[in-house]
Amino acid sequence: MSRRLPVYILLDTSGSMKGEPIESVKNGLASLVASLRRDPNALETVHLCLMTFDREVKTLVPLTLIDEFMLPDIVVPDSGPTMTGLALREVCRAVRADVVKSTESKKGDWRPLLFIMTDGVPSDSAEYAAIIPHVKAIGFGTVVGCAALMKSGSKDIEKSKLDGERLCAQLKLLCSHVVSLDTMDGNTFLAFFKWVSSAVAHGNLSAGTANEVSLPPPPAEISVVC
Amino acid sequence: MSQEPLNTFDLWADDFAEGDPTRILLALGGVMRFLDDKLSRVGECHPNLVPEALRVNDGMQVDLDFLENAEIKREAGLLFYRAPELTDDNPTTAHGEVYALAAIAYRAFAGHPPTRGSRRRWSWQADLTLSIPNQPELSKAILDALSIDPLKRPQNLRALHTALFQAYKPLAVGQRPKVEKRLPINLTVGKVVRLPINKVVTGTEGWDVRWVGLEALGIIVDAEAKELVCTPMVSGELRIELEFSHPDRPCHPLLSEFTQVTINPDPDSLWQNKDADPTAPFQKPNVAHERMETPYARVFAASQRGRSHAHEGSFREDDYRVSFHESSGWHLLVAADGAGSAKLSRRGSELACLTSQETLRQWLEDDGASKLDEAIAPLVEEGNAAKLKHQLYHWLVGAAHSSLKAIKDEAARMDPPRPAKDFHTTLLICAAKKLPTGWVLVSFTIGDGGVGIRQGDGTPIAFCEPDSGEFAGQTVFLTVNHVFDDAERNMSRLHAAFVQDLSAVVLMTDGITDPRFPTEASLKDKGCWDKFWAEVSGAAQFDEAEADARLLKWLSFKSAGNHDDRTIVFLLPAAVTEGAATPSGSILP
Repeated sequence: MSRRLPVYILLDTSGSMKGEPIESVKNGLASLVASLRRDPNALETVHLCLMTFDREVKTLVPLTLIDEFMLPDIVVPDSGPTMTGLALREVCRAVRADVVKSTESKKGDWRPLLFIMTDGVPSDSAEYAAIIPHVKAIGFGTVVGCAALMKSGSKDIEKSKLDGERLCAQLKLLCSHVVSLDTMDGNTFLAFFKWVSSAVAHGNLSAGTANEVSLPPPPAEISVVC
Repeated sequence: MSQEPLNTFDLWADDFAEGDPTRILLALGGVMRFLDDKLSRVGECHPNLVPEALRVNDGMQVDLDFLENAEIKREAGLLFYRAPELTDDNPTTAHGEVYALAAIAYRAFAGHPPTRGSRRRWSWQADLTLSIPNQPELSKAILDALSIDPLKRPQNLRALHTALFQAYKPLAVGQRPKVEKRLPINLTVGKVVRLPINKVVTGTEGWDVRWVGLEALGIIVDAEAKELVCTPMVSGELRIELEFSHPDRPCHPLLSEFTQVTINPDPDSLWQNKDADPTAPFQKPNVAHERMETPYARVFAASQRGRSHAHEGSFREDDYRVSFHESSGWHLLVAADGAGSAKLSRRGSELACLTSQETLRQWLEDDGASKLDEAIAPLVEEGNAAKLKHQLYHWLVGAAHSSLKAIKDEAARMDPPRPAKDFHTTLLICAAKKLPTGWVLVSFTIGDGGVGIRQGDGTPIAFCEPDSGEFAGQTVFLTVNHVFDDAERNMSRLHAAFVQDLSAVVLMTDGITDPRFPTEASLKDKGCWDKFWAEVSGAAQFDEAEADARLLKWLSFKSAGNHDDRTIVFLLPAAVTEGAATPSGSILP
């Protein structure tokens, strides 16, 4: 087997994602998978794992080669907490179980990548804080956090701005890159996932040194927080 | 909620296949219960009681508002539904209502009324027939309720209701074909897959199945093997339509269903071959190859831009240089692999090769050659090359270090100055000299790729200790900070060996080692080397002209997930060593 580029996608499916946001996410995912399938490098190396988290964490698709990947249905409960910490614990477990490291007689995978998309601060903040060092210890090529902020939808602009800042601050503790989507419309999600796919396609070309994987510049729809 | 008239529930519509007469019966059941409750008490039959007027919603409920709200007329329903015994004076009876409802059922199932003739002139049929597929008893129960003799009919609507529902046999589960939403696997253009049909559709017993437009996708139904033979020709998210017809109603497809399939493109068809920017600095041709003959050996070198670089229109980042220092008899072989993530690594690898070659030569000129000879002579006897390391340290580590300095100098001279990391490159240095009793070989490497020695009996010597991390692609470059700071590591990067029966020396960048020697263990594995040697010597035909060009051609071999630049340098002894194979040489620990 050739070296795999393991890519973990972690999606917030808490109640606030219900409706248009999750539909946009689904479209975005479909276009992500389609565009990776058109990239000859990705087609042979990229393996995707899709997990969702709300009250519970679900592995919708375990690590699967992109040409065998089938997009599952994504269900969003009506309400409930955002168990980000719990989800990251599951990611760590999955990476440790999935990803092959090089040894004298075994060929290792490429450094795994993690993308996390969420629209709310972790409900399990203590667990979240506790798991961050473990995520860092994995040695991900990059950890990208995407704060899906709902500026347009919210009534209380001041409050939603504050929530957004809190979320970004939380994500900064975890991620090497944090971006925010200011609107929840389909195009913005599409732009985000397009960027993810170019970052993934880039991932196995630039994994030379022990440093972070470099990412291509994000499109205009996405603001870079850090 | 959408509503449709009951008469569209006839057997020609999808609804039959949707399940069955259940929908019709349920709808009629609603009417019967309603009439039983309301109308029969006052002994009336409603003029609107025709299938066209009964509107049924998705939940199989009959919209009875029209019966409730419309003005109830004291007369029989439409004549079609009027029992033979009724007269204008005696327009409704309980028996008559049973007949009317059974007539509606008849019409809904058969598609035409139970009477013969036109609206104005009609006659009842004593030899009425009805054949609902798979429902002989239900058919009979409806015909019974349409008997000319009122006493042969069920006594009232409630009895009719019971009779029909008892006679009705729901279709067994699975009798309706079940089509999977998606094919169980994704397909790939040009890749033949045989897929059992029952992984796509089940429950087709008794049905005629037609796959629509399958051939255009490159899929054939092998009915005998019960398989789909897929050799897809187009890629994308595609839908496959299946039409089902029933032998009882052969002229109409009763049901059509879709299944989704993802067809991946053939990865080979996606590769583009773009030239790099012709205006960019440090141009480098996409390929290079050469051969060099010395009195002692033949040297072949070839370097090929990788598919991933060709796809993106970026430069080849590998490089090599080979030379022969005549007066000392040393063959100097150097290869380097510029890092994909570094912008000017093509120049980094070039500078590393050029400078290390130059420094290696200069050192030999500056008396190094004779010092080395002096050091080597007594060690050959012992067969112990380990003691050479101090001489080698200055020569090889010095050459590598000078190439780092050359890179740093050039980076600093650029306008604007660039950091050395823009020139990230690995470096493989190997020098070889023929001795009267065999060969002395030395090497120094930084980064991945590898140097290997094949002895006459096929036994390999891994002549390097590649730098690798826990994940693929992680390595060390000549140009990372402090790479020479650790004297011990510098020593472990050095290798030396006396080899009496030399078959070949090979330098390879990771574009070759990744697919052919994927682990450090495989560089030491004779089986791996035998396979590799058979492949390369077969492809290059070293004994014939233009072996270097053939070697270059071989470098384009396909290997999934391995599309990096590939560079290889071979040194083969000029003549076959005489005498039997002698014990293998020693290498530095």
